[in-house]
Amino acid sequence: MNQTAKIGLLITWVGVLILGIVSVIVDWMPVDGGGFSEDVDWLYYFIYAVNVFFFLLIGGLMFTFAICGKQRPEDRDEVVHGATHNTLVEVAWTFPPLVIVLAIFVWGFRGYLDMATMPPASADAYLVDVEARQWGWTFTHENGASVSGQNYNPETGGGAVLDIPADRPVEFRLSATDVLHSLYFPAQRAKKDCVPGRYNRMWVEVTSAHIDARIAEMREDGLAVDEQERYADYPLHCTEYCGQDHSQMNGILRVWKPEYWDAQLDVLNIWNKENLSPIKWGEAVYTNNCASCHSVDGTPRTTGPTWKDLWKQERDGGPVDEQYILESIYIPGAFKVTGFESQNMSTFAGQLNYGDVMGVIAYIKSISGVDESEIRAEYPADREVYDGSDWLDENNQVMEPPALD
Amino acid sequence: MTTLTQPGVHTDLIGKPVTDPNRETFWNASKGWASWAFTLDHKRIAVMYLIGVLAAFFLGGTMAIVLRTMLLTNSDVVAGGLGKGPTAVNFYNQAFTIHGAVMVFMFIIPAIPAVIGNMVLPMQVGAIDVAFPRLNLMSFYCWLVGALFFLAVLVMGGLDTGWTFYTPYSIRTSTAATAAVLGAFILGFSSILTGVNFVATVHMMRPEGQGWFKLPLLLWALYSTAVIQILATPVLAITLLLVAAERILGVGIFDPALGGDPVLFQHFFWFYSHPAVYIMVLPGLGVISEIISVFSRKHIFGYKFIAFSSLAIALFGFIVWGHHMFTSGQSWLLNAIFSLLTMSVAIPSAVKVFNWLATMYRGRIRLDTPMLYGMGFIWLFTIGGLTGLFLAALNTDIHFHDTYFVVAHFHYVMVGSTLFAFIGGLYYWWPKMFGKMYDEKWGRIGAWVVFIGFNLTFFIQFLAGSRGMPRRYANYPDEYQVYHHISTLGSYVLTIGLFIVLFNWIHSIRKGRPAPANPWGANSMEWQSLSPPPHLNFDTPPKVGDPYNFDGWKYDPDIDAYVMRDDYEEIMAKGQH
Amino acid sequence: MTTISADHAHGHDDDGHGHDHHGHHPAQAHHFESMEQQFESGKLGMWVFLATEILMFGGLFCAYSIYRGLNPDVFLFAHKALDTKMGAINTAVLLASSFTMAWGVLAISRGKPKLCLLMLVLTFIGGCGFMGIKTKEYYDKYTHAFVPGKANAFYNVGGAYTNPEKLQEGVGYIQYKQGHGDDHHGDDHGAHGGDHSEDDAEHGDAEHENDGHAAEAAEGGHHGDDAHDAGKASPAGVEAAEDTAHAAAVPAAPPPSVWPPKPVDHANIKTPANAAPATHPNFTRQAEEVADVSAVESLYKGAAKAQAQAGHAHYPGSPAELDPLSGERTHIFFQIYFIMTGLHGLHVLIGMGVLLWVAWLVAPHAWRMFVLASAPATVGLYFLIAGYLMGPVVWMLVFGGLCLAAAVAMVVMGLGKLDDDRPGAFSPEYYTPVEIGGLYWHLVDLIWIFLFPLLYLIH
Repeated sequence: MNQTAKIGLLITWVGVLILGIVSVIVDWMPVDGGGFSEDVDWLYYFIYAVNVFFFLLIGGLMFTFAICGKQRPEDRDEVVHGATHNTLVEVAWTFPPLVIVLAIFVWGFRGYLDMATMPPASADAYLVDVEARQWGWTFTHENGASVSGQNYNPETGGGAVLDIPADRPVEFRLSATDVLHSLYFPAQRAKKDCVPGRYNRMWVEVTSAHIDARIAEMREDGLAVDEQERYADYPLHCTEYCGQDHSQMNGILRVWKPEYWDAQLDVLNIWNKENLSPIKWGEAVYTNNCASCHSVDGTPRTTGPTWKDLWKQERDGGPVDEQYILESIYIPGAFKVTGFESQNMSTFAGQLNYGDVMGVIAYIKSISGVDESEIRAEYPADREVYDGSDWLDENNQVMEPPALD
Repeated sequence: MTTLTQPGVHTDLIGKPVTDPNRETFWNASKGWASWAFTLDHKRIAVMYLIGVLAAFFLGGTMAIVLRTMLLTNSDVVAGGLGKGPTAVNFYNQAFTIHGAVMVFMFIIPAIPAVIGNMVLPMQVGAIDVAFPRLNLMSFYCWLVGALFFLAVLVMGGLDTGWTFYTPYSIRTSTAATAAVLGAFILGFSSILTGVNFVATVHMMRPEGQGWFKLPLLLWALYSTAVIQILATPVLAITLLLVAAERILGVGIFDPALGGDPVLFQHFFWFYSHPAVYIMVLPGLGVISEIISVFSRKHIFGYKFIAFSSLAIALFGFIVWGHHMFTSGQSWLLNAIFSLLTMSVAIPSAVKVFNWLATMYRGRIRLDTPMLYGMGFIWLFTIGGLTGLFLAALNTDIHFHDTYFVVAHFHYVMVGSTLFAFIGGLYYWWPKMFGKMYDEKWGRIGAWVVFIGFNLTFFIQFLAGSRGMPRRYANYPDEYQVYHHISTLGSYVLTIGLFIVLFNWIHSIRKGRPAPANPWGANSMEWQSLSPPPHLNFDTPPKVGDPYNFDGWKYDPDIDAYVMRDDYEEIMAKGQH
Repeated sequence: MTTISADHAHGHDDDGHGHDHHGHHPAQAHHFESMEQQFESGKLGMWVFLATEILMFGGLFCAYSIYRGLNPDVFLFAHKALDTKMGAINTAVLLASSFTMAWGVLAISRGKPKLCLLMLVLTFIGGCGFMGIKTKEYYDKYTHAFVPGKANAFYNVGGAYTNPEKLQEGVGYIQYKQGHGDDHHGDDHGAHGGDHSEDDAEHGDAEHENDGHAAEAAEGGHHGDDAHDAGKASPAGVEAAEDTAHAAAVPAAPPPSVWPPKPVDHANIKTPANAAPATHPNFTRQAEEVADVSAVESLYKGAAKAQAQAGHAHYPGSPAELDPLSGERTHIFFQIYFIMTGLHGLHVLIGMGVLLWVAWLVAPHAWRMFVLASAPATVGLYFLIAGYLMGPVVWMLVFGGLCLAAAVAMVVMGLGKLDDDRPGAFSPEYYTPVEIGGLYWHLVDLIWIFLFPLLYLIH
């Protein structure tokens, strides 16, 4: 071996060493925002280690062989007669990779099952409806509060801000109105497509410890953080190409410490300051609008049928369901109940909005013996007419809710 | 002193008649534009394909530079700025779509099979032509018509669907998606015809004595590729037809607004397009198998393992398509199955790399330009393949799906591997094709610049993607700007490298010294013909031997090339072991 | 695999400048070593090509299976619009033509070109028959608004039906077919069948349908008990019957349903509502629309329930009985039907072209003009008959006449060449085009063998 080759070999393996060290130093993954990051990062760094090892081995050997065996011009005629095959060697280098990839598969599968299994009812998961459209997000909370927007704007605080509580699982029900979108939380390593025509589900859980760590980190980086350290912000992107403003769907995932969550929910709550459940809200709507004609305890009245046990009752228009109630409120003439043909109820279209009707439906269910947890599981449902935007002022801030009466 | 087998071979192989301007080659066998436009000669069709795919590569590459340049600037979108305006954003969306669609359908898929395969495949089985020369010509014209459709798309309002044509966006876009899917449909026919031809040629046209295991590994790779082309492309064809029908008639099969299922489109599309990934990379693996062995002056190691791994990759490629859809909402069970199957593809790929390394081990390695590309290929393919593990594992893929990590991964596999194999293969067969040698020094410089530029462009994208940079973003959060700067810088270096390659080729055609018949000492049959070959490929019937047994050739310093030993047949009969 | 002949090299030298050297069949291409190699290559190539064809149709079969799996009731309901009898005849025609094709290949391989030509002509006539019957079927669909694309009777965007008048006609037609002469329902409809007698004459007339079914709906109440007695009626059927009885009592107030076919302005549809599962109220339907309870819908619901009561309870009578999302997919059955049969029909046409080309090669030179004349003759006859039946449509008649004239001219020209005594192009040594043309024709037949039961014979 000549001098040049020795230097070449030295450079190769010093390079391999340096690359190896550099690869250990570089921090590849983004900020750890809870969610599935622990699992994903573990597997990531395992595969990474495997990759660095094999890559440096293959690259190093390749350069070594090239340098050691470099053909001199006078050797043009030489043909090397080495082994042309060796089944034992082939098997030897087929099986270790097989074992490694199977291990990776099992690891990835276990982590994925965690992602794919929605939290059980006992986990008290918080449900947010996420609806994607060209081009923006609408996040609707359990209480009907709805936030809608494109890019988050730190100047005004407007845009797509997805508020969720910490220390409890949060479930997202994803849908889209037009084309494919995809909701992505890089810090939580969570992602799922929003497919029109179906609901996809995804969930994450962020702890208060993550919030503290994130705030500290943002402070260190000189970024603006909440003065009272109530919440931390994480990025949120659309990752399925959806047309022109695909790249303008970057929102904020704002995770609130549990002690501040109820207050924040109040801010978000567009129904009233008391943070009523849909049932309570329905009851309030009933009291203010319907109680003069309909009873809820079965008392017969001449003005209108009672609402007691109304849910799924057989009527002329079929069993009473959401559609039936909605239409009865907006177009009272559509259905006439036997015995009340002469009563002419006036329409409430324009007076009761979608949220009100949702409340009434929930209330009717509750006085028809439907289990409360079942009712809550249904909300919020479809919001295609109502996106909450009429509750936002020009700065995307939630306006004062109107008085009940 | 060399001793040679036959008089006819003798004079040609020592290189003297090559300078004879009157010698008949496929270039001058007939004259006039019609002799090219209606040619049935596989070599001329290969040359026409070469010009075509290089033009497509230029178009796609221009788009790539445009979009990389657009990504240099970013006016703080997340902080409330507007970023690029709608016009610029739409332009960007069109640029990446055209880049992707042109590169995939017009360049990478046809590049190696239609150029190198057409040129070399019939000669490697000692045949005069492919089995169906007319179909071969028709394949080229299908490519041309498909390409014209794409050019029409450019003037008819562009295309902004992404090369994947995902529904329902592709149904709703106002851009010329109908013309584009029809263009891709026709390009698919071109691909099918090439595949049919190659399968029939490899099956039927081999001479006596050339069994399946005496085929050069390039043919195993091309054969596997042809199988994929034949089995997968029709599904793409019907899928694209359905998308066109959606747009024209509103049939609703893929449109959720009409009761259809957009995820079904993804299944259909990836049932083709995942195997299509192997259409792109398998021929490259074949080319590299040739180059590594020849330039190591050593018999390829583990011939059967490499051969069967090509078939295995082709077959596994059909059952892994669902790994493109881990986030689409398909059931966890399907995801798990597809993840497991995807892992299986890693094995034959790893087997190939290890066998190439074993071939190089103790070889007498000749570091000429093709070998530089070969080694670059191993480097990039290793990175591309290993990073595939992140994407095959379920929960890491959830994080990386549709980020720049995926972009970097498939560019390492598609561009790093296929483009390197294509350029390396062209350098390797350049003397055979054009009858001229290229400038070795500039060839090496070009290889290094391309290699450095490529890694600069795409390696940083792994980092950007890991940290959450979504793909297909015209505007992006500021934290990613530094990655985009490095990447764009790299793309300029890559461009310079590719122009060095191009100028080297042009210089070779104009000023290159006449090429000897076998400059590399390779033993597959095309090297027994003259450079460039005559119209009917061989003046004397080629001798069948183990394509990786190089003992039958002797180096002749006078012509800087190899000549056949007169006991060639005995050496071949004896074999190396 | 074949052997490379010893005189390979010399062969090439000669071969480059012509095919006339010793020992080679004139049809042998220069790059093949032997006729056998050429024949086998051609056959292999054709088989590979057929594989691609099957995979292309495979994609459609896959889409078919998925949608049928998702909406079995839709397929049960909508396939009634197809004419099983015509489909069966077409199957027989294609099978017979495949048989004659195989006979033709056998004939030429035994050196009987004239028999082969006869068989090819018979096969060609089979193809014509198939396409003719297919045209009639398409025409029937066309007259009942079962057309591909947006004009389809069941076309809807997010559940809002865009062609309500056609929908009326379409559903009426399917129900008419269901009530009449349908072999695999046999006695099920019993007394109910008679109710339709007046529909025979003009079942397409919407007004008339309306009356007819309203009458049935009213009648349904009286038959309520029969449904119970029949013992076949499912609970749904009973419920439906009771509902119908109720509806008959209050005919003035037809109930709205989850499947209200509403006329909408297509341009205004921005956000399809079918994202919501059936359990959620669908609020996209605006108040005014909900109020617009059209007569159409009461018609279907009433008619459907009457059907159900009359013993069809296991069988969806109309989209009103389907799950809302399924109902919205009714048009997809027709879209799949048209794409599949349309693509198949295109293959039949291409196959007929191949047959003509092969027949031209098989025929002795003296007859070639006659073979060629059959192309314009076929097209001309097709347009004449179709133009006459459809209207008459003048331009079709004129075009058909021109084609026939061209055919006559070609026959006249052919008469002048009767003394040409050159034989046809094929012999037992070389008949590859016949062989691969035959393979193609068998493929076309095979695909139809799958299409027919999948589309026409749904149980």
